[in-house]
Amino acid sequence: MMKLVKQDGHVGAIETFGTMVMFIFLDIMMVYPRSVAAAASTAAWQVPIVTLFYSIPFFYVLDRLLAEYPGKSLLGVVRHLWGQGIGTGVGLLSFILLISFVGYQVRVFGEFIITTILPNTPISAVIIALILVMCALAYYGIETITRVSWNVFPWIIVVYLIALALVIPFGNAYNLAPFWGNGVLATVGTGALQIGTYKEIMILGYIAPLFRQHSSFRRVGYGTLLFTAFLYVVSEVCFIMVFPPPMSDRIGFPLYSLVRVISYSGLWQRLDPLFIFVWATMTTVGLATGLYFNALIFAQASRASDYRPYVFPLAVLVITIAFIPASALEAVRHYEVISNSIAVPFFVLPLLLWIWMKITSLLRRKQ
Amino acid sequence: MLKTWLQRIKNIFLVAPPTMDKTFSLSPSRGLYNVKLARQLKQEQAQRPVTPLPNERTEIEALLTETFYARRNPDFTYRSFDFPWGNLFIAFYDSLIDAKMVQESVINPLLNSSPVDTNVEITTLLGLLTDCHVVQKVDTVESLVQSITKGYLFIFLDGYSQGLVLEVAADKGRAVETTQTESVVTGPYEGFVENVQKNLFLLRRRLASSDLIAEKLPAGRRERGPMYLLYFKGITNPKLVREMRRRLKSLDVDALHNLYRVEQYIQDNPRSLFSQMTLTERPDRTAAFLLEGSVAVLMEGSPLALIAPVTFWAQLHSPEDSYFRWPVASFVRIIRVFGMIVTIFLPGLYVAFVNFHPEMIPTELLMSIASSRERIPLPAALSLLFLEIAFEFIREAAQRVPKSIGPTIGIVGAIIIGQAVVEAGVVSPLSIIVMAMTALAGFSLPQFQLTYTLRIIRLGMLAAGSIFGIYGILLAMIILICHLVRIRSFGIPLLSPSSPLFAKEEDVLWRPPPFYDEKRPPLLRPLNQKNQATVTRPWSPQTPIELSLLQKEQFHKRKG
Repeated sequence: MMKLVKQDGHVGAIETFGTMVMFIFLDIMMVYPRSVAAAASTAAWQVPIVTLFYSIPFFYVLDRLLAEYPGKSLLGVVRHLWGQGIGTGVGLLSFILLISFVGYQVRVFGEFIITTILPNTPISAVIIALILVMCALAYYGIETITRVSWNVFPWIIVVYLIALALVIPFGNAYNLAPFWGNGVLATVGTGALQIGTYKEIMILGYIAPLFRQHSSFRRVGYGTLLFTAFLYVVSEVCFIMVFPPPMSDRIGFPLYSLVRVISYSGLWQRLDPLFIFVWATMTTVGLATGLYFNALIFAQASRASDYRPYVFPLAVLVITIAFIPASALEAVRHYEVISNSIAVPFFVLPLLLWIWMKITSLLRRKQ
Repeated sequence: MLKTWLQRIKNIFLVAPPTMDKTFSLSPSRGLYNVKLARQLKQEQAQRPVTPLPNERTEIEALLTETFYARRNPDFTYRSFDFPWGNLFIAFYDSLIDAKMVQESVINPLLNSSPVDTNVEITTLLGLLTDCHVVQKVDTVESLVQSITKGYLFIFLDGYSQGLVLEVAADKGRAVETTQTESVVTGPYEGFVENVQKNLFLLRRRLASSDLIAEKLPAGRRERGPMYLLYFKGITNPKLVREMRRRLKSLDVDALHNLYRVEQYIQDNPRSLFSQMTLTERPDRTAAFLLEGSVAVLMEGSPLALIAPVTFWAQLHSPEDSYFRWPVASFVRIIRVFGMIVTIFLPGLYVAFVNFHPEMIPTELLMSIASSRERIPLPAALSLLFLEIAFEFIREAAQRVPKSIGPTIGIVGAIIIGQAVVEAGVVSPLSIIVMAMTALAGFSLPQFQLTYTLRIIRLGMLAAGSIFGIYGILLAMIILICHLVRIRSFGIPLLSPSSPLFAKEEDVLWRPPPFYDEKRPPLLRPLNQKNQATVTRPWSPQTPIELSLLQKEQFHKRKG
């Protein structure tokens, strides 16, 4: 089997859970609350739940598929079932989709930093500093990334939830009405269109052999999905309460704007830099996870024995992609499209593999 | 130089060979590794040339005069005595041996109880020298030379190719005194001294158990005294003992002056800023670590014990934590963690807020800061750097100057930093407050080495904060955590049990009440996990009576 990490050992379940939550949750810090509120109106908070119901079957399929092939990563299963050529092709496709996604995330994050806290700093300086840290984390592998994320994850989540709780008095529960928004069917439809919300969970398949037992993989997957859905729902509820849908369409950085409204007497005002601290930490670790997965998928696709030589070249590629959009607006618009469209291959691939596996095993049994 | 740097840059893009076979882990799933090294060392030791001791006194005398440069070394003394039963030759370093004791413990007993028999052998003398406790036979020139340099008395009987070495040490060093760097309010005040035997005495007096093993190991090629590897048989994981022994035996250096030096040779990540072992001068703390399942190293000439493995959190623990009541101990531990955060981040955050994010500071405070900085020409970062350097000067000077003029340094420092720099408009009073808070928070940490490490990290945070504000600090923080999670102390991740999570480990920040703390740290994988009975307060009305019953039944079951 291909070597996935430089040392032996396994990834811890709880640490990987923290990492995956941070990786998936990046979306909400970007444009998700605004775009969902625009699509589902006051029922926007229900969309993550609906999307969760769409995503869980796909993850179930991935789980069953990998359980059939213990010790194999998702790409290993592709190679096993469809052969080397298709395996390489699928790997390269996944890599291209993921790197463009990470590149745009880096750009949006850079734009956010210069808009909010470092207006006089060139965006290239912000992005390059970020990329260097991402490289360091990605280079040292998943073990380091998961442990770093577990060191910051509990604090980040606590601060994040406290910030949301502090926002509640500035909102209005009536803003959540009408309960079904544009209607049940419309909400279910929006949930389908937002299928990309949890797409990152499928990438877990590429490190499946690193779990001690397959049950850990399963627990991490479902745990991440449920916890992330909870965070999405809570964030969306607070957002709509403060910025009801017609207004929410025009909010630049939704959660940042949300935290800016906090003002309790002289001392508890302007907590946004603290929130940026939380967000930027989460984003840095999440993006480093993205870069790591890029290098790993590329190494698996090209049948290389190690992913580390790819980290720095891919970081350069990420910077290049980050500077493709001419403006911040264009970056955000492209990001929304990429985020949802790359979900399709990520979800469909395990489903096709699973169907193929079932058909072939059925045929074999008949023979 | 250029070549080295080019190679380093090249190394970033290259892949190092797998390190799996070199990493040590206490995990039972991981077996022994790289045993070859220990074998090689043993073989090398076995291959060293051995010269048998000559049996003629004149030959021995000539050999020793030549080896110890007796003419130029007046403290090398040798004498011969003509007894009725033979010719006795003694040699020793006068500076290392108490001549009076030689007379009383060696010469007088031999004179007073001289055997009538003329066929006396060297072994017969063993029975006569009852006043000397360390008596060994030597039959090679190499071991003889080593024994004399270590401060033993050599005695030789003409005609035999064997000699005896006796311990007649001149001075046992200073008396046991209070500790210098780990002072506590409660608890014992004794500290280790330079004499390793006294240190062993301090430990054995606390741990009255035959299971406490103190293995003697050589300390360098020109060793003055031995090192002792201490562990508890039946508690300490044998893998850990074997690993420590292996690392200590691998030390092939001229001399090891101090355990701080030994630590740098044997730690897992020697290039890290962070120490991966604990050095303590307290016997009670060493005893506590040994009982938890760690190993300790003592060395002649070093008033310390080197303890491994340890976690980062153990470096925030003070010896008196176990003497305080548990809520107080838990509280002070949290204060220390807070102190650590303050000492690392405060200057960087101050610069970040003042320069980049003034909106986060409440308006009144912002106005106050602005007015205090109004006539300061230096930017906030430079002001803090100036104070940091001034503080380092004071600290270094206070350590170096004679004690009689020590207070002067404090006065000069207080006047310069506290008054003059503010009046001269070099720094603002708030910068001084920030720096003072930072320094005080740093000194709240019990481990002296950690304070030095954090001081360097603080400078990095200051630089990051002054370049990128809060964004720079968080990037630097992630790099710091990334570095910390990669460090191991004898196979145990330094940040465990928080990362990787080891939920069973309780004694981290919150110190559990002693009567609940019934297990040794599972991270060390001790052979015997329990350190006390499950029910230690059977008389308490809060203890359910069933527990005592169940415990008795368990005891009888064990007894069969």
